[in-house]
Amino acid sequence: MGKTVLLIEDEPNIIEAVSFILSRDGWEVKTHANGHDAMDAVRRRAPDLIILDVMLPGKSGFDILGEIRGDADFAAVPVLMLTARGQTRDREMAERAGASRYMTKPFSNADVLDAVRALAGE
Amino acid sequence: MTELYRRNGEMERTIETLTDRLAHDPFLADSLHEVISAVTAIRATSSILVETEELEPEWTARFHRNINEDSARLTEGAQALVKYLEGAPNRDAEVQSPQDEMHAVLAARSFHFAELEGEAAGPRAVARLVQAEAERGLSGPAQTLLGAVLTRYLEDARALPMDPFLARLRKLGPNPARLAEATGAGLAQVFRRLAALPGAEAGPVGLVICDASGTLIFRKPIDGFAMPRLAGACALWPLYQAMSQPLAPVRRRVRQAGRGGEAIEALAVAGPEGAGGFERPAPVRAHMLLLPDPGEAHGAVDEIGVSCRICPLAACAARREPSILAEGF
Repeated sequence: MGKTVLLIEDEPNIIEAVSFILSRDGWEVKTHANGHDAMDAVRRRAPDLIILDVMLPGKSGFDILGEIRGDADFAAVPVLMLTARGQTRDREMAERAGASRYMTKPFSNADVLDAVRALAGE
Repeated sequence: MTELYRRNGEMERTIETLTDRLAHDPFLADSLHEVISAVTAIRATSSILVETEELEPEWTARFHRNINEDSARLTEGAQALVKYLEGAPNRDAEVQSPQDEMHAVLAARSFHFAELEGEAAGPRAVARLVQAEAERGLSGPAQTLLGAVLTRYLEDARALPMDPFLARLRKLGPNPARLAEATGAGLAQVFRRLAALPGAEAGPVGLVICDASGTLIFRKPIDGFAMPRLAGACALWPLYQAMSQPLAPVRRRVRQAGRGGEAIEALAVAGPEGAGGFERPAPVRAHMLLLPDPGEAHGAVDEIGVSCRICPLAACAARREPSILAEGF
């Protein structure tokens, strides 16, 4: 039985590419495309790992991360944050909000795989 | 495909160079977000096509279609960005306006000047600070602006000396109305004083001041609230609401649409600066203090923007030009 990753991202073609790469690597990939009810999706899917975009329609990735970390069931789930803004402030905010790892767009497929594998192995 | 890969690489380098400038330019930040999303999708998709052995024909077709879509989007986005950069003055980091220079000096000191606090501080301390910056290369016009801002700082510090003001702040909390009542100072002066305290004492405090033309003449940033550099801010800002009804303070919870940001509390007031005369009335200025969100109990959150060009709000009566987010991207 493969492990489940939940990808919360609003760009359809990024979703498709990342899902493809991860499913070829043996992951079961679930996706969710908006911020409003992202936490519901987390509870429903109960993933082993979460990939979370910072800029989402409806709600900021930082807020969602806060909710994930505030929920005892998911507080320890590894979260990989994605952002298009390379500002150090975003990195600091992600770290403060409890992101396990942080990746700046554009990333390479190898970066995604390395990050996901490293987080899964922890 | 190789050519596309190479061009994508060039685009990524351009993005790296522009990234440093994002923190100071919300226009650029939002336009670039669109371009980066397209580049990210193209990069991930094209490497799947190049690196995956024996990719099924359905997947190949699908990924080709995605790249085609994204490259069209990238082309439009890049053109819109170039058009914007060409049309915008003073984008080069080397060419700074005097206002930018003055704000850079304030930011380097975190908007607090210990030299101007305390009873001994006087106009000479202001002159010394300006002189020191002049020796570091501050331009003449920027020296004039810095002198004016620091002179006002000195007046504020004399009217509301730091230690008693901090004691009141600890007792009353960051409540400008009660601080103004307790000290007898005006709201605008209390706003400026709160924004001049050391960050460790007052927490995050942002402040914007505009003149009657709406031009932002003073900007102290706060996380979660983007400000354009001079003019062209969103007309929905409480700052401008205050300007339309001088002497009537405004308090709102606001959030900037489409930025993934958090809510923030904005307190604004407008009033005449100086006494004025019979020949010409005193100019009116508006101040807007920005504080961390006080929470749900303080009313609903108003959606506002940064500036029309990068604003995603669709039905907005205050819009003055179309958004490049809707058009170009």
